[in-house]
Amino acid sequence: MSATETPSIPWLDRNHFLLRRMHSLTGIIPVGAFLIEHLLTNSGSWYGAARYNKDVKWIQDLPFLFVLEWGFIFLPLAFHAIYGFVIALGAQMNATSYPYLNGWRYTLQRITAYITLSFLIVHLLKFRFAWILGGPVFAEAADWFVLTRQGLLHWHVGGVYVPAWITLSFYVIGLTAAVYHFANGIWTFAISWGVLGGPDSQRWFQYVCLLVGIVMCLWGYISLWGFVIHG
Amino acid sequence: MAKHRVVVIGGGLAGLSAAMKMAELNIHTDLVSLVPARRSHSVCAQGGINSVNQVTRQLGDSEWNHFDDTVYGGDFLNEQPPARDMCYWAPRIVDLLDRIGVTFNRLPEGDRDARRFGGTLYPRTAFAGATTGQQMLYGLDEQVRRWEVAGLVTRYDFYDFLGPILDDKGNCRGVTVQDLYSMKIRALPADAVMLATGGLGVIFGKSTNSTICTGAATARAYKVGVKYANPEFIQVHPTAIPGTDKHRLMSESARGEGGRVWVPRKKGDTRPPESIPEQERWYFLEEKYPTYGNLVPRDIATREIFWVCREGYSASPVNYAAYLDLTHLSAERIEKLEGILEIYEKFVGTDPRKTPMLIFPAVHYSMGGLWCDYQKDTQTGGLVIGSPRNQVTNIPGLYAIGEGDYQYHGANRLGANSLLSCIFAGLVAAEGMPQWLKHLPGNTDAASLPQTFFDSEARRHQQAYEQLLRASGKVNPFALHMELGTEMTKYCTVVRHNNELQTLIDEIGDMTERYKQVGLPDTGNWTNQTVRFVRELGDMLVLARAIAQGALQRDECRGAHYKPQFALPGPTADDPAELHRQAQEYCKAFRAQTAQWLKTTIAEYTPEGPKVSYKPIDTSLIPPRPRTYGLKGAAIIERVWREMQTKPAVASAE
Amino acid sequence: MPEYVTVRVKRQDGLDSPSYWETFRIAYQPRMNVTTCLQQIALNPVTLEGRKTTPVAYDAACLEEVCGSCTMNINGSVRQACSTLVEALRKENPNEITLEPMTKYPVMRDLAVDRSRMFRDLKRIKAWIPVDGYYDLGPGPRISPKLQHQLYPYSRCMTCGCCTEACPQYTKDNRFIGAFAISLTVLFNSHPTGAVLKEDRLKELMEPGGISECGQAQNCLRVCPKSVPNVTGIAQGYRQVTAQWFKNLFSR
Repeated sequence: MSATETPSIPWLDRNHFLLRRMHSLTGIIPVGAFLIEHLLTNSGSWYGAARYNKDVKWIQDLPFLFVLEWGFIFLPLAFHAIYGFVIALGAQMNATSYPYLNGWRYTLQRITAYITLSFLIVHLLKFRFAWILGGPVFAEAADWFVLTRQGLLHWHVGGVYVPAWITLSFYVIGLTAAVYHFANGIWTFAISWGVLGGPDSQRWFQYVCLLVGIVMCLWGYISLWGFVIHG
Repeated sequence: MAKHRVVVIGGGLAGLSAAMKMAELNIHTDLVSLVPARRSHSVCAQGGINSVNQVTRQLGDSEWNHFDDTVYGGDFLNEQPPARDMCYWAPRIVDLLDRIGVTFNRLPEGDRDARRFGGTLYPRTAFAGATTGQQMLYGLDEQVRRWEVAGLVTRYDFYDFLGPILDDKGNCRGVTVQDLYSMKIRALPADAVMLATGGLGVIFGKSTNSTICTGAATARAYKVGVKYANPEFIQVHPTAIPGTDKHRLMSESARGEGGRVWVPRKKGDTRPPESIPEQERWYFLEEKYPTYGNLVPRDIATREIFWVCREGYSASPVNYAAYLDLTHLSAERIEKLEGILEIYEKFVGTDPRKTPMLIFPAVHYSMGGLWCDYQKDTQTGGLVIGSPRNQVTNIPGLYAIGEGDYQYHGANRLGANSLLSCIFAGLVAAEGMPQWLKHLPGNTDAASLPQTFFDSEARRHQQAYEQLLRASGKVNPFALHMELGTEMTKYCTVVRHNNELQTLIDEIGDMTERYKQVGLPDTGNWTNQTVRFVRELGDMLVLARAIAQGALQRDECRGAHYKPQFALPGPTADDPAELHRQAQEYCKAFRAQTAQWLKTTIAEYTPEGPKVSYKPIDTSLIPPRPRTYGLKGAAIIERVWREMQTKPAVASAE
Repeated sequence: MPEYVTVRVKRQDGLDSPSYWETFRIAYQPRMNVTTCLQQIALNPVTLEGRKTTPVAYDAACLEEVCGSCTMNINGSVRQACSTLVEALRKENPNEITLEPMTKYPVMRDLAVDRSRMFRDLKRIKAWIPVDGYYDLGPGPRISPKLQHQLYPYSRCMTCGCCTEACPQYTKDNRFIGAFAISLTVLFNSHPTGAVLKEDRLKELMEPGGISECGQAQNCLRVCPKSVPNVTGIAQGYRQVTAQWFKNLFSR
């Protein structure tokens, strides 16, 4: 068939491989990298309000923050989430029929994706985009630590008070899901970019990813705990 | 462009190699197959493929030696010109397979490894693990797929061949086929038809063959007038794993790699094989056949295993079985056999690396098949390559290739020669096509024949099909098949007796009558596998009759056909003079037997049963000589025979 | 030793017909496999309730696990009917055996499915060695035993479809070529002559339905009856497409 005879291939199909590469890449850079940065900043809470506020201020003072935020966080994240959602919709999970470790890992990657996405929507509405629901504008807050603590322990939304244990549990679950999704994502990234050439390298690398995941989880829990203990 | 179309029935090695070669010659193939080509029975061949190679050549081997082994192993019933060329082409065929990517085992420098197989003294057999047939089938299937993309091959998978279409002059002009999903029947016009439909093991109920190897396609050609040659020559493989649904092959390569066959010396010894000490094991093949040991030709190994079991030495208390022992082999050798060892482990549940395997002979291969012609090259004694007479049956335009033909293996096939003969026959038939298509009968091609001619054929088959669908008798076709299989195996395999064969023929007659009363448990008109099977059963009965009739009428022992009543008594004397005399007697008897029986059995179909006649065969290249495997005084017999050939007058005067 | 085996079969009369279940009771024989059960049903097609029915349609050929025909879901997981022994199934469920058709392919009837998609996908990846012809052109390239050892396991793939059935990413509606085709791509790319088409094959692997549909569930390795190293195949496939992708980006 000549080029003129081939009808227009959908844009998504024409750029299929590029999109898949980008999906894989955005999960690590910048979304995953931002996750690490985010945990790094937030873990300042362990040292109290002053340290946390100082770090947040440093970020808020970054030049072209708007571009950084949208170009390196929100847009890649939205792309990763939406395209990932499209991919996941095309699959048929079957871990109950084939209960192998990797099958479960695959299934969890999708489940944690949904959890993480739901979590992130709430998380963003709680802080970064709280004004949509009538809350304060985060960047303009006088004391970011207090605002964050408020959101975690005494959250009012639309006149409803959400008890601290619910919010905290939600955060623990959301954080764990995000970290799982990221750590396992490193593993699948390393396979799909041809770094891990076979089952043996995949085996030892999974322990590296497991370690990364555990460290990041603990790190996140510490950050959360920092907001609880520094009142 | 390719305006002519050739229909190939069967997607095994023979059919695929023909289709592939024809595509290269720019001839379009319609490839009709019961199953996708990759699932054809060729996939089961485990051991390898024979050809002279660089190493054996330096050990004194040659194409001629391979040819001689083939003919000697086949008890001189092979058609020598095609068999000769098969052996001469063998190195090229293996090279070709190598080039198309067959994953042959390798030696450190990158050359193909080879092992020794039965009936030869040279390591001629190239192999790909223990799944050589699978790898070769895939290699050819992939080439054909390449041509499919190029538009020179059209596949008809899941189509049943119902019969050739003959014009009023008796030329083959196409085939009638049935789509096995929609059950629609249609005619495919063709300028030539090649039947590459394989073996017929299913006639024997449980065999090493695939469920599709019913011989039905062969029978459908036979019923319209194609001659059937050497039906009685059925190879029983010495080592198979008995099973509830089929007997699974344990490749000869297990012995080729050093596997040893034995039974306990004590009758009824029920100890587990590991605890039977070496001196209490009877390695009967090694003892009786010191030259070839465990690698005697298949007919001999089969009879020996059969015989020791019947004498009461069976290794199993419940059925007949002997041990095939691999437990002493090095890890390196075991690795080459992984594929077949897995099969044993999977289907039996014990580890053959640790415990000797239990094996027993099972029906494996049909040396006989549709009669086909060849054109002899008087210079070489081989074939005129490119002649359309090669592989053509007695119906012009209808060719037979592969296990379904008869020329290459005589009375008994050597291990690792089957893959070779299939590919050779496919290639050689394809080579003849350009000439054939240039001079079609009446200078008419099938495409220019009236559509009504083809439609009426399709309609005829449609009516037969509809009639079969309505069959509502009391006879269970599956039970009838089991009965046929049991009787055929009992009376018509390893050992044959005339009175039993007569009984068998009567029973087949009776079964054929009962077949008319068959009831179809499925009368649907969509993906009806039952109707296909019942139709095949009718054809199996037809072919079974020819096999039994051929066996009954051949009063001698030759290759796989063994009638104790007519066995030539071998020398027994210890006294050298007496032994010499007995050897002379033996040679005389052999000469008489050769004069009477060294000829091809030809069965022709009549509704009353096969009409059997005989056709002389071409033994111009290698004159017959006694097969002396395991005979006492073998060397003396051979010497006496040579003397008789050079001084026939003196020998007969004694 | 049990006297009987109970076999529940999910049946379907045609492509778009609804499915239904039938139960059969079969006399037990030592070392019997699922194929034997189906043969016994054909011999006496009467359900447990005593109702006459038709023999079950299923694909079968070699019965020694090398042709790939008789793939079906047995007790919920995909395998070959011929190499699945009833004794082993009794350990999973002593009461009954369930037989269902593969779910990723159109059901033609009962347990027989149309897997022609697999063969079409072999065309997509040009699964062949582009030799110059079939005349006598000498031996093929020398291949080291090491490479042969690497390639042989891939060449045992019998296109049975187990890997696709167990793959959560391979569905009836998408175009994924599946683990077997990716592994075979690696096989053909690794052959000295086959490598001539390597770029074409990798291009196909980068298309929709190609390698990036893989979700690393790796069931393909676990369910493969022939132990084809699908995980290695996919990992190597990924390595090859990544290299090719970069090459495409920067070297032209």
